[in-house]
Amino acid sequence: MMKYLIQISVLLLLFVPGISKSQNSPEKYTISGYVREKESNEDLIGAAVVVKELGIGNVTNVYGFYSITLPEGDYTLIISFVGYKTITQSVALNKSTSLDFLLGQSTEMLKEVEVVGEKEDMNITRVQMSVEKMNVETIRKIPQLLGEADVIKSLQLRPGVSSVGEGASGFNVRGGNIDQNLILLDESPVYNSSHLFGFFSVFNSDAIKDVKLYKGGIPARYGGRLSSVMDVRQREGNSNKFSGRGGIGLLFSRLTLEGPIVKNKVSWLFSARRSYADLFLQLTEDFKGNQAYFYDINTKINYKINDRNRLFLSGYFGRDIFNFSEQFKTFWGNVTGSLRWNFLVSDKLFMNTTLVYSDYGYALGVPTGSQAFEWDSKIITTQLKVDFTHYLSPKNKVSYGGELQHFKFFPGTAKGIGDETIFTEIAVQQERAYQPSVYIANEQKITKKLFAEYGLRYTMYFNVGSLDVNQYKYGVPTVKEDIIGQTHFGKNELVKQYDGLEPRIGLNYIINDIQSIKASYQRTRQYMHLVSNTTAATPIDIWKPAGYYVKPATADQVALGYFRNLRENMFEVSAEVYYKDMRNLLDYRDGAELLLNDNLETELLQGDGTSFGLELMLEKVKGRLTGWIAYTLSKTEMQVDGFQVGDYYGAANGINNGNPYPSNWDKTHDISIVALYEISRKWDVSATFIFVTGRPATYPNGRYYWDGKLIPDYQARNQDRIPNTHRLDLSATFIPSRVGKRWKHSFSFGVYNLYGRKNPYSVYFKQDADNPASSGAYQLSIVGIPVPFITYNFNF
Amino acid sequence: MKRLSIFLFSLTLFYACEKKIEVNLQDPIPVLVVEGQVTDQDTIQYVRLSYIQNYNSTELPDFTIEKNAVVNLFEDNAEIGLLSFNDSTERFEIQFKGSIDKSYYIQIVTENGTIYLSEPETLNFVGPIDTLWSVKEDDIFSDEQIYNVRMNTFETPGIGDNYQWKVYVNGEYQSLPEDILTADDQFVDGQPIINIDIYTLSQEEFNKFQSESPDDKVIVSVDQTAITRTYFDFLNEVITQTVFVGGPFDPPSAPIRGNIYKSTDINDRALGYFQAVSVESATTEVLP
Repeated sequence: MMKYLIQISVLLLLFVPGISKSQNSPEKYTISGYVREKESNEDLIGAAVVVKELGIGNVTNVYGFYSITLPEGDYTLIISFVGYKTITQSVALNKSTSLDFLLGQSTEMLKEVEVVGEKEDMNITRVQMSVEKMNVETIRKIPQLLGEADVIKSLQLRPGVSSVGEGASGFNVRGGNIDQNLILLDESPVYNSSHLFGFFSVFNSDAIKDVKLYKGGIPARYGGRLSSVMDVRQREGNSNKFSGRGGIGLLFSRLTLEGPIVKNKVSWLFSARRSYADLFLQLTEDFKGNQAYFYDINTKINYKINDRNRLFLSGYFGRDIFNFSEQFKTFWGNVTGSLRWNFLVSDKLFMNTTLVYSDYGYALGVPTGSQAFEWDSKIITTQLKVDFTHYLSPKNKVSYGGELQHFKFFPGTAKGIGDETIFTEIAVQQERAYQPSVYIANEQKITKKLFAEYGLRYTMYFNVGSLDVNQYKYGVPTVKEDIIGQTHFGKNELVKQYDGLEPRIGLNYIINDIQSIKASYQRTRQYMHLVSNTTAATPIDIWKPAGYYVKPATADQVALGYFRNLRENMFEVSAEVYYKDMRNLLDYRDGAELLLNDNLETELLQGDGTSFGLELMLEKVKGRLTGWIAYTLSKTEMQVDGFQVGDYYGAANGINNGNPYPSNWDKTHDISIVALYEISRKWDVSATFIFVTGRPATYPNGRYYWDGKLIPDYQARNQDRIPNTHRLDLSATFIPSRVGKRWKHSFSFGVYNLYGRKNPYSVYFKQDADNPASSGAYQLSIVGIPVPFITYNFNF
Repeated sequence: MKRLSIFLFSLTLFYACEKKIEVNLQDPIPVLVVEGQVTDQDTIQYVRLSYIQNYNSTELPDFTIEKNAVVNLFEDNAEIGLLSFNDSTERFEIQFKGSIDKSYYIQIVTENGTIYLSEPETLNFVGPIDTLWSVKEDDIFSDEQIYNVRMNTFETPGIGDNYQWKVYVNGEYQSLPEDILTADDQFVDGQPIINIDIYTLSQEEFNKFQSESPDDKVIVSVDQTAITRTYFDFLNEVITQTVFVGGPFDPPSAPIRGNIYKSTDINDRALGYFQAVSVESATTEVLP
């Protein structure tokens, strides 16, 4: 233990810089500061600060900070951000200067104040490719189930992002499973991003400022998952005046309040959302006493200590609750918190230190009676990270830092409760792990046309005791009956160690102002797996760390893309191809028992996956009509070999006899069309159409009669497909009052699944209960009818 | 676990709809299907043979297709005897009483000379059912009343016991996949097992059985059987592949591994299972 703690410390110390004043030659000075939204003082992420005379500049970081170092002289700075008035500022640069900018809404903006989007032509000039950035206003306009704006459902309309089906939890990115997405809320990991199994995400759009999804070209500062990073930033809270917004819908309501504690110095935000369908159930005799609802609470305090120091304290509390009288109770949810300290070490060196806590857990049980029991499980993460951004020059922006994560896994404890219970206690061993990592990266302008972002991440992983590890007859996990003993590891004693480098490279060749070619390569590592062998993940799936028997997963992804803007950046067109190779992915033996299993390693198999695809995107970003057409053509396969050892044959055939098979989320064609039209100052309409190839399914090879039952026989996995899905959603927003009145409100209404298509979720096979000789195929649709919605929205 | 699965599945039904569809499926390659058991009761022990069918078949399989096969029963590796084919029951049968702690397997030689063996099954001890009774209650999922057949028993101390309960209503074996009921003792080792619902009849089902009964009685019999872990896993996989299907939380469709294999290749398996079980029974009348 001491050995690896020393290793961690040495690595971190390598990246702790001394406080330094600008070391520029006397002729160079630095302009730095923040870009904020004028009315609310919210930091603007990705705002451009460009030096007109030189054609160089920077974009603000996630805290709205920028820094540019220039030779002494006179310059014109252009500060721009889509949806806001561009500012032009003359600067006589003869010393290092701090300049903050407040951007006001563009007069062309018809809606209430909202942090919108990044600079025009950013898609051409930035090195990053494979990034989806959605602004909250767009998310609100897209018609969704029951009218609830949903971040993740909106991202699924972008190329390369999908799910296994309607109502399924999580999302899949470029062929990756849902556990391969690192979801961060103000830098704190969120382990279950869904409410109500998968119908809604945990993100309340009123509390969110920025959402960015990296599908590839993941910057070196991120790590821990194979396929994507979803970085969600909460609003800071209006530090100018008290304000609020909310909405009342058929089954949800939400309210967000924010304001200054000390004007322009300390601000706060409180946002809450609750579903209340169960309240209506209390009016019926059949369902009285039952509960079924979820809630989210987002909180934040933002404290500007002085010009160099800022503190942010964020919290999120969310839960799903289902109680069936005294028969059965369950809940699950996330609790996250982060404390961040921004420190301007110098005008060229920005530091952020973050302390993170994240807890996902669930509990279920029967509260009373002879079968009373309770069962709970959770995963807890604590993390300390330090990030530096060093604005060395207009051509080089270096970032570096490190983090130390600590994980505690509580896979499950189940015990009887009360005097009458027949149940004893089962507890699956807890596990712990440390994951330190360091990274360094540089964004470099190599030539006028060639830009690069390259970096290296190094991660280590230590699975530590206290833990008792089963030893098997043949040295590998076979069956419980082959256990010949246990090896005990004491508290903090090293059980297993893994480590590895993760290179990240991105290149952008700007052909001209309107087109560029990009390429990227990334290696990623993942040291924990979500154990789930169901079609859609359930809230009670557990996370399993890499350890004695379970290896970490790794992936390599390459991507190539062409980007072009048309008609003065009114249209953005892109075409990307990618190839991803994944190793040590989890799969499961047939009939695997995954819950409350202290010998879980006997149920697991690890194999490889490959995914490749083409993503096409045409997006109109300006004008009354905006929206996009996205098309993804892709293929994702898994391959899991079996093994045979001694007299153990249980996993001899692997999965699908060791032959490649399509993954559950392999969907050949995925088309999304989104149209948002501003008819007038009072009316908006929007429409969404999707078409998706049916997901793979396993149809029976035949059937057999055994003990009075007709049993389907399955052989090759996922060689068939369920029918395709297509759906049209419409919505409209009516805004009765406009600027000039403090209270602004609107009505949104629409229909999800307009033509009531019974889109198949699954095709399954079962015996006819009335005719023992007959069996048939059935199709399940999750939402098989048009679902109307109406929501009253307000802000003040 | 079963209640949890039912809960998760039922929640999807708030939004979901189901319809029967036509799916074109090919004829399968012939695979032998074996069903059979030996018990600790002095009675007919049997083996039934058939072959896999096209999934869309509308008739039961032909159980006489291998009537000329040779089926032998072994106890602790010693041959007990040959099972004879009974034309009326369409099964291979032998009068025999199994013994606790002995292991049993069968050998099948099909008409074309292929030899199959079953993996040995140990006949384990099972305790008696202490009490069996029925209660009429409100159904929590509807406004109807239901009849719950409930029992008390005692779990034999020592981890590793596995059980199946078979239910007969007016002598008719309840054989649908939804009627499979199994448990292991991981959570209840050595404990009294009280107030366990073994079977449920809806009002409609009760009325149907009552009307078909010559004396208007509805008699429920329960066989409590001790089964091996391998058979327990097999039955649970049958439940998974036949009952928990179609919903968002169903595991992937997969072949169910039985315990019958070709003598030339242990990985080349027949379908089905041959089990050795001990039986304790109880009976109760379900009162209206």
